[in-house]
Amino acid sequence: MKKNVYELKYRYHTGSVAWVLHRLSGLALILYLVLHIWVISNLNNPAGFNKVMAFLNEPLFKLLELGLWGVIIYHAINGLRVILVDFFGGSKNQKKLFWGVVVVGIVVFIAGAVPFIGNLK
Amino acid sequence: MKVTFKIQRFIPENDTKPSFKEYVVEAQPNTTILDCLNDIRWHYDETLSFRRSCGHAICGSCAMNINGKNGLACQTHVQDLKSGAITVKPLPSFPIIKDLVVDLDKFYEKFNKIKPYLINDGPVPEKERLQSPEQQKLIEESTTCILCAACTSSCPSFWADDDYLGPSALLKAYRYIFDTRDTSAEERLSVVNDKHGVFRCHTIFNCNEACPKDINITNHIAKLKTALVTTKL
Amino acid sequence: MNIKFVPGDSGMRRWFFQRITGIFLVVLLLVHFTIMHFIGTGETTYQTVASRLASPLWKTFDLAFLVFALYHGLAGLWVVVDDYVHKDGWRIFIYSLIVLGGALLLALGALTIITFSPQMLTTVKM
Repeated sequence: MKKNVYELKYRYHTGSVAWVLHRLSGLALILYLVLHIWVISNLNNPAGFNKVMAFLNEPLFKLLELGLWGVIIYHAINGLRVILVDFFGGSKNQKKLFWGVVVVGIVVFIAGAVPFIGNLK
Repeated sequence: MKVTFKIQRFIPENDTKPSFKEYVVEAQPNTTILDCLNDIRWHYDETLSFRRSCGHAICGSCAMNINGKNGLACQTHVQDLKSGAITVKPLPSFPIIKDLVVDLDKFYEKFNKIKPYLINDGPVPEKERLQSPEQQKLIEESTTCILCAACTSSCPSFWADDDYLGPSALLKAYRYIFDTRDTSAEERLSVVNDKHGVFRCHTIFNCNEACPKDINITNHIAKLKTALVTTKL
Repeated sequence: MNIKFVPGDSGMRRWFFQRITGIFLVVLLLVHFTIMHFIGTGETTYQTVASRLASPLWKTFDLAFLVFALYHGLAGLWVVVDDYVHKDGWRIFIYSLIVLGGALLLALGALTIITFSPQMLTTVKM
């Protein structure tokens, strides 16, 4: 019998939403890491490095960078929630912890986005 | 009041794939889904098949997927669900025998792997093996499982890999590993420290949501993980 | 039941070190972001990067960041493969790609950091 895709039919809750977002953000960050390592490797050639950097200073990339910051924030803070669940009995309060992740996440996101936007020319 | 049900029907011998059939029954807000299923079977469509026994949330027979979430039909009331049609499907990821009846072999075989019985090769005591209240508290929650399969069939890790032990078997493993009267903790911990064992759990929490006995299964699995890491890393 | 040999361990070490590297990464990330956007002007030109990367302290920091980030990311990818890929042939193939890719990225990143020495900081044509 063909396997149904239960992921699309089973009801989502706080815990399963948190997990899906964590997995998707993780995969996105792996992609970013690969690109980042490649870009930085251009340091062997100063002119080339500055050229790549100028290219990445285009408004589109700056917007993506802001998005990246959001993705990192979610993955990092939910990651801390996972650690609380795994080692410090956080399962008992996992839903409250998730909303804590959202609140702290928004605060830290803004705290980082403000100087980032301020620094833009 | 009138309540509409959309129930998944499937007879493997006749149908190529499942389909939904609609029924309208008379129900009160506190009528259970099991009551409604019985009403349908007794008065409208005697071909509808589902498992049931005690009718009060202790035998585990009537576990099914109601409005997208696993639970017991006898414990779910019409008023617990949002207004509108109620969708009833069998537990996900198990082969369907007929309609809402699934083959639970893959669920039960997991229990054999973790040896769900007391193992104590010490001298047989004259009276009972005693436990302090604290020792009993350690396993109390894990003893209340009714083996309904709602948790394991709600777990995305189990959907991806049905060799995964799953929340229910892991909970049962916990129940014996942390039982002070049992002497085979080491052996059982080795069994759950397997490719299809405890580290397939990614703390998705679907099991906790599905459990009709409100057992915090994820917490017990977390204790198994930390027990392994502190003894075997 | 699958009784023939299948590659794959229980995932215990991976699970544990994911969490350890995760905690380190949160700390390193906060430092990195603060340096870049609070203390720094957020401008990434050769000059601004070179002034930091010349020092052994920053080289060590960046190297640690690289190692932990690669471990955490690739172990995460490994877990996803472990969950969804069941055929032995594909598992071995993809795991090899991950190990190979990781080694290449580590080499590229580490060499960039370790061998970096600032060239003449004259104005560079953009």
